[in-house]
Amino acid sequence: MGEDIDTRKINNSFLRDQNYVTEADIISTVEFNHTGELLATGDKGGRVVIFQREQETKSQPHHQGEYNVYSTFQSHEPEFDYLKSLEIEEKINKIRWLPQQNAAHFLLSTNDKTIKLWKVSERDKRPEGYNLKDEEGRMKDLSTVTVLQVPVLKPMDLMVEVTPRKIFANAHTYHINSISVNSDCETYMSADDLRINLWHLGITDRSFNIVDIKPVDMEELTEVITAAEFHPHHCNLLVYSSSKGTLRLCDMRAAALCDKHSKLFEEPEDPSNRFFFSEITSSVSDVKFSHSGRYMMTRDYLTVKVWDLNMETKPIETYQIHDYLQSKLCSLYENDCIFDKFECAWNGSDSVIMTGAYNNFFRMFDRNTKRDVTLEASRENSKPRAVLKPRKVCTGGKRRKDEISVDSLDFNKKILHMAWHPTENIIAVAATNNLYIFQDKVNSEMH
Amino acid sequence: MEFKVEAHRIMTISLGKIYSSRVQRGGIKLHKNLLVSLVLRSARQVYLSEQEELYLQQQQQLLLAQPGEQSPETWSDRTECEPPTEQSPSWAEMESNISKEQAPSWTEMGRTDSKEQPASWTEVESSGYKEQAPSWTEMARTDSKEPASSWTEMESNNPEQQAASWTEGQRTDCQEQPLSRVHSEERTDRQSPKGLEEGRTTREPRAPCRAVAGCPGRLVRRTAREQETACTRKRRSPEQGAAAEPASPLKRARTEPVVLQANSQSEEEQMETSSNVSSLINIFGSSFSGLLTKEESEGESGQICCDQVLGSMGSWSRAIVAF
Repeated sequence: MGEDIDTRKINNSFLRDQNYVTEADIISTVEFNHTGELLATGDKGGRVVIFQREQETKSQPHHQGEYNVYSTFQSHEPEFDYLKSLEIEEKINKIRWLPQQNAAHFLLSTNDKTIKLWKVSERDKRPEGYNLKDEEGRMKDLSTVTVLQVPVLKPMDLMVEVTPRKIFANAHTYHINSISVNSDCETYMSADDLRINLWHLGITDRSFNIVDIKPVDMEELTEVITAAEFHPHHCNLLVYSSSKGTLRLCDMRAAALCDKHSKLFEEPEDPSNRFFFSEITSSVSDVKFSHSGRYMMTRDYLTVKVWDLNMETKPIETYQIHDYLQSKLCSLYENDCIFDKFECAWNGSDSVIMTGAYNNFFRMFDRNTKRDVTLEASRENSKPRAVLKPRKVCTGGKRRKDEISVDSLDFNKKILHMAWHPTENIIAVAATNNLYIFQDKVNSEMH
Repeated sequence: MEFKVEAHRIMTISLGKIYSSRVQRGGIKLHKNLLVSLVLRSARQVYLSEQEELYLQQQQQLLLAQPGEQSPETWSDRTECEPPTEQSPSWAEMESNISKEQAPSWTEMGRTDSKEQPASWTEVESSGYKEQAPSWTEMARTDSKEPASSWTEMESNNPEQQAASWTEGQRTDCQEQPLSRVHSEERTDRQSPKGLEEGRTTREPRAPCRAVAGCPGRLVRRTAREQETACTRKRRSPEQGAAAEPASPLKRARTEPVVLQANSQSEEEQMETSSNVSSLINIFGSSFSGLLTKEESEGESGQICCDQVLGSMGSWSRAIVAF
């Protein structure tokens, strides 16, 4: 793609110059809001950091469109389930922004068990001139009050307030893996391993269960829900993926309980494939509707597949992300890397898809030109405003200069979470505890 | 053979993962454990199928050698195999008579069944046991949909006539090294864990060994269900293993007194790491429940938990109950 890059690296770790990474700083989710002005990240420590894009000004052309920290708050705390003697992690699994309806911004953040609705609002004025209170808020001595005044709003330094508005708790027995806001802007769903619940954004004490795949006898459990999303335009449609690699499209108009799917998207597995780990590698880790609503994209361990909603038999496109790992599945199983859940993202026009890989590589595929590129998010290899150099993994034979061999890939450096700006070519890529924001200045609208 | 080694290794790793998931922060992750159990099942099936094949070959050769000759055998362990009619002292448990009966039938059945799965241990096993428990094969076939993994007592069903040494060889090997049949093992008494002990008390990696090698010797308790052919169900090929039956046969509880956990489930399967605990495979009512509720077995090694998990592959009820 030849991106001309303006690189920003925001490091959340205290020990930034060393390789040690505080586990709590590991970014676990990244999400742009609907305009792209705000970017939210959640980490394993339960914190949410919101970045805001600077307004483009002619006076400072070099700082156009850079993202700066806007607000930081603690969303979730570790909890303890006394009944089951289990600790509930505070790690933020997903953040989803609500479409903006007034001056304030709202986002949903969730950990394994509880979803919270946060209101993010700005305050840049404050009232001054109270009659009964002085500037510090202390009560005035009434004897000193001789004149009545009308309080006026005076400008103040911008203050961003984040307040919890709703807490949706105690609805999930299993670990929540997805939340998705409906296009009706009134409801949203939350999905755990076996159930999907439908909530109203204003009601916290009850939710409706719309999908339940828990078998009567748990011994018969064969698959779990891995991701779920509402259709971007049709408020009655939702899709959920399973650990078996299938997608189920459900229509909420058909029945209250959507256990019976309207469409089942499944690609028949090639029986000659690898045996031991084929069930793991076919498990879908992420599903995303295209902005148009016509396509869906799924990510499993080795591939990204693009599906047409009108064709259930097989995906229309399959992209190999790191097929060279097929021979390494056993060691990846040993070190648990095979269970990594990679996300994927569409660009604004649905022409390019992006997903992460190991060694801090991430890949982009242009669906029209069929070109692809592998890029690396690392401090050593990119300087701010430097153009990212395409990388290549040598899969065998002679290794050319600048190529990396499969064996020297660092499997501890993985890009699991990423987001693409809704309209522009700006991407946010989370590499462990670092967030990289790349812009394609060549193509972005400027001036 | 490489498959077997690999399969065993994968089984060991899987059990370790399941065990360590118990102590993970945030609780047991259902998805990951489901995947691990699927891998465990696949690996086990590959492992057992290979064992079966080897065993079948061995048996056939033994039978050929019955009249007194010893046909040239490349498998060194074959020399350790006892004639079908022999009963190693350790086999003294229930199965002895059964094995005797089966010895001759096995051969026949093995041959007739070979087309089902060439040189498949399963065939031999299942056919041999047809006499014993006609329901076994039937169950194997009809039960193929049953998700609950029944670790068929391949082990238990195996002809007890197996040379104890052969089984031992299998057993001792199973821990770390490639399970090579040729590995001759003493294990006559079934008591010596030979090398299986790795700081573990008993089960665990042995279990896979047991399944294969131990089969001949370790049958302590064989139920009709055990008869089921986990063997027959054996995948035709490793590739199929993973995709084939969702339900692997449950291992049958072995009479081995070393039941690690006092649980109320009827069956638990344990991996035996030593001959002492050999034949102790109890099938869990549910694999994870044992892991989750094993307060009393906290002191035991994770291996034991893993062993039990092995036996109850596919049993999720407890795990979910724990949730």
